[in-house]
Amino acid sequence: MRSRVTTVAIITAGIVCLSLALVGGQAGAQGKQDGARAATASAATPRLADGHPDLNGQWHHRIGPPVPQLKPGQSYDAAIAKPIGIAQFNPGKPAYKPEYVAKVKDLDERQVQVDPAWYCQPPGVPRVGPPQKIVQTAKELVFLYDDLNGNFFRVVRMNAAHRTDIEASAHGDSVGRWDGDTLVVDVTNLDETTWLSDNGLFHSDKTHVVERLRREGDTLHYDVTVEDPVVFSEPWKQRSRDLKLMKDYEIEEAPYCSERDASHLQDLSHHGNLR
Amino acid sequence: MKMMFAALVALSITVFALPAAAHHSLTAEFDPNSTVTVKGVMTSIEWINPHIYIYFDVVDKDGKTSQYAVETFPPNHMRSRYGLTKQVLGGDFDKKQTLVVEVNPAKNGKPLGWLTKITYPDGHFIKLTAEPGSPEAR
Repeated sequence: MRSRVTTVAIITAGIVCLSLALVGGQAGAQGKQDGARAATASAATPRLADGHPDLNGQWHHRIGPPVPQLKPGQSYDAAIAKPIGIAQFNPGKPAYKPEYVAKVKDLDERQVQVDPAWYCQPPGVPRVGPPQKIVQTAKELVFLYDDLNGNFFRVVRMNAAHRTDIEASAHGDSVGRWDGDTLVVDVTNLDETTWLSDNGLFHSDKTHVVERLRREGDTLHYDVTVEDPVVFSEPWKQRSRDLKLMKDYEIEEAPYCSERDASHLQDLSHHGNLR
Repeated sequence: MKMMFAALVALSITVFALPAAAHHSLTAEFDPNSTVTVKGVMTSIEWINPHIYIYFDVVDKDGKTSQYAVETFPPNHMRSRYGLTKQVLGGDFDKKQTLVVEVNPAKNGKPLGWLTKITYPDGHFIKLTAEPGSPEAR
């Protein structure tokens, strides 16, 4: 309990640096985040034996860290308890070629009918978001995701060439290299079944994603650039995110996903489903 | 079916105070301006994404039993935001007690509602709201 309280205190103290756009203030939080990056190095960056920054740990949870569990028989009123916010991050929007703008608009309007992620399909890279947990060795890093749509993993092979013997997939093929203290992850082999984010952001099977991860103290800076020469008019650099290390939290298995609302919907209105 | 369902539940239409910009997604499926009170025995909890489902057996005045489904937040909301586990939500599940559940009913008249409050036989309750700013409230 005490450690959980301590964790809450740490998170609270670091809230200015937190990149996750909290409830009701995505735009405002984004502005704060951009201005706060230079001030995040409060602790030394730990390193592994090979000298590279230690990225191991739990870095991101869409909601959290979790509040203490209720006891059986205990009453709960959300209006009084004021539950913690949902960390939804708006990555921005890419610039599509003129001939695809109408398609994006159409998909956006019909999102509740056609967005694959609304029907429990894999979100894909980059929509799945930053790694929730990283397991790091000198040869590879494993990114783990406890997502609304299921449990996903990515293996980032260090200093390796992209595979050519596998089918394209939602999360593609990831290889990594160190650029100084920045881990650069290059992702190809992405199929076109996913969206890049909410709002109809479709893509082709020529999508190329580059992620940059840099640890500074207990903050992980996460940047994503998406290239799609087929549908974009220029590369899309997503808004930056800063993730805090969650020391007292362990990733959990996601319950399975089964969409059951579609047949009951009376109109196309919807909320965001960002990660 | 709709008439039968209406007979199964005690209707209590109330003004559900929500912010003006709320519930785009919920309002596509549920009526936030109406609250229906359902009394029934919890038969199962599906702890699944993207929304948890709780099922109740409801008995009408003629003694006929039918199922009412109650939908609520995803598991990671329940666990992380509210501290609610499947066990806590289930209460004394094995005793098959009659619970009182308040929901915003489905607009299509199906025996389905969005959970707002569940009261257990000993009087303790769990009351959930989609507060302004949450994804559900957009």
